[in-house]
This record gives sequence, structure tokens and C-alpha cells, in this order.
Amino acid sequence: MKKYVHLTLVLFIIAFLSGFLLGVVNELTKGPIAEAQARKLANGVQNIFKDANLEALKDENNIVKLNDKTLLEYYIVYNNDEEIIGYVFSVDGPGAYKAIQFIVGIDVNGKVRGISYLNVEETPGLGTRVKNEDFTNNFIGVDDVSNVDIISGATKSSNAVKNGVQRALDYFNKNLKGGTNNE
Amino acid sequence: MNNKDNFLKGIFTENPVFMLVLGMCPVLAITTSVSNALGMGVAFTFVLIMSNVIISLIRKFIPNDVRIPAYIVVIATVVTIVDLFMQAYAYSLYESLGIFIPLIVVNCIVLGRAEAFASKNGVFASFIDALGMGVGYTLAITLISTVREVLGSGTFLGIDVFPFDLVQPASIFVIAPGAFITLGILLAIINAIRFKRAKKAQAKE
Repeated sequence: MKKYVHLTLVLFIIAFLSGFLLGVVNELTKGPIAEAQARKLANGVQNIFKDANLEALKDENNIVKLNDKTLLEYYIVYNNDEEIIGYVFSVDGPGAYKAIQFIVGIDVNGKVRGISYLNVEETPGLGTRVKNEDFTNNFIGVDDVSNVDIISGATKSSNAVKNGVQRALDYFNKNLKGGTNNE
Repeated sequence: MNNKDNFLKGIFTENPVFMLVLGMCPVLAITTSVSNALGMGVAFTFVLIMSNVIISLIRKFIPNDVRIPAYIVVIATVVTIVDLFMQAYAYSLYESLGIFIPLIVVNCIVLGRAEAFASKNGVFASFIDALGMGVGYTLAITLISTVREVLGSGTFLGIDVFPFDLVQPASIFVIAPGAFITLGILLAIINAIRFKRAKKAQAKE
């Protein structure tokens, strides 16, 4: 009996100390992790809308959560004169193995301004070709993706992006066109 | 065993990848690029050193019956710390290594060193052992990833090594089958050298 008390106590002490240590580390890294994620998003938005006001992007009023598995949320993008210049949708497209996380920017006229990837874990050299500009540039300026060719050998990956962009466009046309809903 | 031999055994005679052939899953999965391999090597070496040192420090305090769960808790704690710090300060590396950082917890090299070395030896010797194993692991996966990145993507550390598209890279080396082919050929070469040397040594005697 004494032996089991001893064993339990030793394990308890080790687990307790490691739990405490992890709590401390978590507190230390919580801020920088959130910052790193926000910076990645901000860089993506800036690639799409050169004149975007990145400070306004952080404002929670400008983030609209959507109840959808693919279309996660959208951000209202302002320029420095506080005019709405477009919307950026955060999309999780079902890739070959995991979700392809990207953002797509749509300007107030309903044309795609660009795509920026947040996380792609497709087959290197095959599925990751969705990142190539040859592919992403095809979306710029369109308001309907049906004429965009998918990449042969990366059908699932490129379809995930293509469908994601179309979903964002559909949402825009249904809910945001005219831009008055949010005022 | 002196410190030098203790350090060098991790690189040569007991190299975790080429000699012990332990923990092959991340070796095959993350060696798609040299930068991935270096990042994984550093994270892995850090975990190995920390877990070996801590386990060596508390080895007399841990009863034999619960040593495995105790080691796992220590290793898991160190790995989670590395995971969080990497996420905070090396976000792009964290993303490209993905699931393989948390999976260091169940990497048999780490547990193997804890069980085979740190639980029986002093703190400094355990530190040297972990350092040698970590460096050996890093060199091994860097070698594999160099072959795979140069042949598969035509780059080394992201720099184009075949200018003007002289050679078309063979993308098979970047995907899973290429990992097995590369590892198999490298193991064959290393074994061939090893057998040749053993034969020579025998002939001398």
C-alpha cells in the first residue's frame, strides 16, 4: 500500500510541476502568438488591397463571423480616408488532405482583387502549385470563376480555391452588393 | 567512455537515423526542404537535451515502476514549450513543420535516450549524449533533405541550383515515394562503406 502512495505522489508532483510550467509559458507566448497570426492576416490583406488601413482591420466591428464551414468570416476593408474599399473573406477550402486556408479580396464593384494564402499543406510540388501566380492571377478582376482553368494534377487543390472564391462572390452578391447593409 | 566518444557516437556509430533507424516518420515527412530539416533538427536537439538533462536530474527520485509515464510527462512538457515558443517567434517554420513538432513527444529516439542513457548516467554525460544524438539527427535529416530538395525542387535552401532551367527537377523526390527512395539509397551507401571498413579491419588482424 505504501508503495502505491509513493508512486502516485511522485507522478503527481511531476505532473503538477509540468502543468505549472506550461501555464507560465502559455501566459508568456499568448500575446506573441496572437500577434504573429494577426500579422500574417494583415500582410495578406495588404497584398490584396495596397491602400488598406490595417489599423481598422483590427477593429472587431469590422470583422463579421459567418456561420459556415467554408466561408469563415469577412473583414470590411477601409482605406485611410475611411471609405470602404472592399471585403476580405477568410476561406477554408477542402484541399486534398487538409483545409487550404486563404483569404480572397473582393472590391466594392464585386470583382476579385486577389488571393493570399494563409496555410497550404497540399502535396509539395503538386497541390502547392495553387500558390503559383499563373493560377492566382487568373482570378484577378473576375466576378465569376467559371472561366478560370484548374491545374491538371492538382484538381482537388485548385477546385478548393476556385469554389471558395465563388462562395465568397456569391455571398457578396447576395448580402453586400451596394455596400449599404453595414451602414 | 570519455566525453568525446560519447558525443561522436550519436553522429557516427549510433546515429539515430542511419544506424539505429529510429523515429523514421518525421524523417520521411519533413525532409522536403533543407530549411524544414534544419528547423526540425534544432527543435529536436533542444527537446532531446532538455529531456535528457531533466530526467538525469530526477532519475533517483523516480521509482522504477512509473518511470515511463514520468519520462513521457517530462518530454511532453518540453515539447509543448518548444511548440508554443515556435508558434510565437517562428510562425512560418511552425506552420511548415505542422504536426511533427507535437509528435516529437512520441519519437522513440527521445524516449529511447531517456530510458537507455539519461536514467543511468549523470547530468553532464546525459547532456553530451543528447547533444551528440541531436547533432547526428540534424546532420542525417539535412543530408536527406538536401538530396530531396536539389533533385525534387531544383533548389537548395530556396536558392535555385539549376539556373536557366538546365535540368527539370523530378518532383517525385519531394513527395512520399521519393523520401523512401532517398533514404533507402543513402542507407545502402552508408552500409556499403561500413562493411568495406569492417572487412579491411578484419583483414588487418
